[in-house]
Amino acid sequence: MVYSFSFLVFVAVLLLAYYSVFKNHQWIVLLVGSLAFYLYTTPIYSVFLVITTVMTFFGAIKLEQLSDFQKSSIKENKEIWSKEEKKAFKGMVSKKKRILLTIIVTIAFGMLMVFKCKKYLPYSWLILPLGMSFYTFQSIGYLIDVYRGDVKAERNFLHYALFVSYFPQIVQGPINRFDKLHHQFFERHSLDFVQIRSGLWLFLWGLFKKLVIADRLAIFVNEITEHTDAPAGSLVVVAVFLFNIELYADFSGGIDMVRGISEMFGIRLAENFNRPFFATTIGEYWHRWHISLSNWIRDYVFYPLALSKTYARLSSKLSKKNAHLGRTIPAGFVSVFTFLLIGLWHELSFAYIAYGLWHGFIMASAQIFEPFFSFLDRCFSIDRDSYAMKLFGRARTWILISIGELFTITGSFNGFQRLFSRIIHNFSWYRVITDIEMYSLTYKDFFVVGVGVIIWYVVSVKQEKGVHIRERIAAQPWLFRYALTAGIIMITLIFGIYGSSYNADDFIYGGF
Amino acid sequence: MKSKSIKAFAQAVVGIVLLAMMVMYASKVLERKDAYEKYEAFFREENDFDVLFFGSSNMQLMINPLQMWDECGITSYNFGNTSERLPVTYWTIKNALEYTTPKVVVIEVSQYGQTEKYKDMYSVHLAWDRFPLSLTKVKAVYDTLDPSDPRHELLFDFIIYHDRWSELTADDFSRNYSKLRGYATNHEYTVFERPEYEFRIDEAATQTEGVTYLEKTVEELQAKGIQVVFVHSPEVNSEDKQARINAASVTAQKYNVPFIDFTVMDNCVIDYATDMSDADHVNIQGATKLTHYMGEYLMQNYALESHAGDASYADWNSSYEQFRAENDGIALTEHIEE
Repeated sequence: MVYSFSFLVFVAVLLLAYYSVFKNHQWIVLLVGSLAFYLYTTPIYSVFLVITTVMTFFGAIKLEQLSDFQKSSIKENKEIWSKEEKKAFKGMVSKKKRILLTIIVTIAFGMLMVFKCKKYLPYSWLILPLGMSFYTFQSIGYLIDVYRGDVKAERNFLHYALFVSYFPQIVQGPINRFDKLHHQFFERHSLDFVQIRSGLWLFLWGLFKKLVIADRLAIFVNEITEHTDAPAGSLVVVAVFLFNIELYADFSGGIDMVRGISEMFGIRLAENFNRPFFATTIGEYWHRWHISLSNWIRDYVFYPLALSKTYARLSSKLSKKNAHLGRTIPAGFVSVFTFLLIGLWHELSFAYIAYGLWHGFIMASAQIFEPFFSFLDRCFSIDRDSYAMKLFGRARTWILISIGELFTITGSFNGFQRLFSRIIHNFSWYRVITDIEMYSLTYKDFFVVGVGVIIWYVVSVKQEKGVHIRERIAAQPWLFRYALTAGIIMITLIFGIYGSSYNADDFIYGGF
Repeated sequence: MKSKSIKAFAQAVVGIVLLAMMVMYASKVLERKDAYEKYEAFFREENDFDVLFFGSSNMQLMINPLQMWDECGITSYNFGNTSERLPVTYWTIKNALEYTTPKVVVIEVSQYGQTEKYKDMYSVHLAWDRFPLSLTKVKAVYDTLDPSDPRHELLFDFIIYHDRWSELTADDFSRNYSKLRGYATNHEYTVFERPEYEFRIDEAATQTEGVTYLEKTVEELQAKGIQVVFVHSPEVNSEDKQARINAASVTAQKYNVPFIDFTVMDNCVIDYATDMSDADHVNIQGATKLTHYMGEYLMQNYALESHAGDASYADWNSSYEQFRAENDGIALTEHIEE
């Protein structure tokens, strides 16, 4: 049902119900719709969603109660307890909180890991429940926020259940934060034609990227990478290059559709992409790519590690020898560790461990060798802010990202070895021209993808310059707006990959 | 404020109507044209047809409605379609009867006793793509296809045909259609000897789901006062297949329906040495003989009136002349198996 014709009918019916009921009951429509959607798509494995929701809901309340108890006890006994007694009491309650948090986090991530490691276990028939990575991270993020006292624990179970199971985002994110999302469900949303139209545009734009660009490229990329014999190395390089576009079109297209649908309900979800391929460094790339995941890792893993005592000890020890190394080596370790986690979030496999380590090492080396790079800049009088250097930076980032994708594109070590060996031993650049028609995509298909990517690029350049495309379109005469809307619908209907002549790929990030 | 809302609503309506028109036009251009070419003449006919012919490709190649018009003055349409199984035929008849009321329906039964509801999606598309979306068509799709089949693609064929954008030619825009009233010509021959069969009935064939549909077809047609005739085209069959088709005589007797089996009848209408295209189908020469036979049979046994000379049927004359001009004098060539 996910993103099928039935799904669109489901959304239309839900929208109708949403704007027909009393505004203080709108959240109930969303909850019923979300649960119905999840139960329909994931009937048996819904139990894991229930476990995570119940566990984090009551866990958060307990954590808050412990915090309140800690505060009130200290306040009550302010005059009685000595400093040591206060400290001991504080430590005792904090320990309880830590233990409770650790237990819940372990169970939640344990369940997730069972599914992520299923191929190494005698339960390979298990199927990763829809959106499990996303709802686990979202609910654990909430729990940590409550643990830290950053948000108040939700006391209404149904309110909280909606936050975890909200149907547009449960399939492939983005991973939303409680303080940004939760209150929106309970605001009163009036039927707003402009808002519905704006959401519809975003949805159509995502659908265009997914069906016209991503799914068409997937045909070629899958053929090259799954071919066990003899695609030339040059074709593998082209496939990896195109896989970057496919992945971005697929994931960002899916997120645009999700955000578009959500906007129609008046709920704004977190941005997940900020034109990542305009990034001039890998660090910048991770600020622009899968933002909700990298922010989650930054806030709940990187910062706690960077503020830990071990980090501080290591830093001060190294600083005595070299101030730069004292600053960058511990940060490098943390980078490698956090990117390893990002890799593992995708899957416990060679492919994603290598992917995580690759990104971690690049991040770490960029910091550690920064003085050397600055030295080179000075030697050759290079201005990093010049247009040429920005272009160079983008190309370099693209290449580094592509190398990372080479690990994951087949999903296995053997696959990586096979493709790598083709690139090294049988590059044959001319075979890009001679062999490309051996595969299912014709030149006409590549032309369609090319035009699609150019349109996308032009839109992205405008956005990069701060233009809000949908607002700009909304300000145009109605005939132009309708022509543009009809145009994108027709292009997607005609050039999209759907129907039984070809089975459209599932959303790549729906698999995580 | 109110006028602003009305304006926005009016704009939305105009936009949606224009979009729907664009989708419909694109759908017409992109659709695979074989169903349109075969069935368009049926939908353009203003008078009721006298006779409708249904069945698989055996039927499609054996009856030429234009020749029958010329010889008998009756109008007919040949719905015979590649690999069509009896459940599909049942629904094709139901769809066709929404547009015309014939006096006689002739069903070719070489698919008698087949167990599957349809052979492949292509043949179902060919049979039903030209029928506009209707409740009957929806029922046909949901009854014949399994939930795992791409049902929506039969109801909204744009889902499957949008992919044809890369293979469009000028013909896709021209909207030409065949005037042969469903008949397909074949100018090849294969030399056969007419086989002899020991008459045997495969009892199991009468218990199949396809036969249930055939029985439903006969019951519903008879309830409407439409006469039914079973025919079996000349074939070179195995004993087993012929025993299965012989079982159609059980259904024929049950409903008092005439059954003409050209494969086993005493006086063979065609010459197996020259009139067969392959083991299952006749060529144009065989079709001419079978059409002549069926025309006489229908005129003798049913109250059919000739429309010859009626100005409202003038198009039939011009179509027949065109058919003759295009086919007369074409020599038969030997059929080569692919």
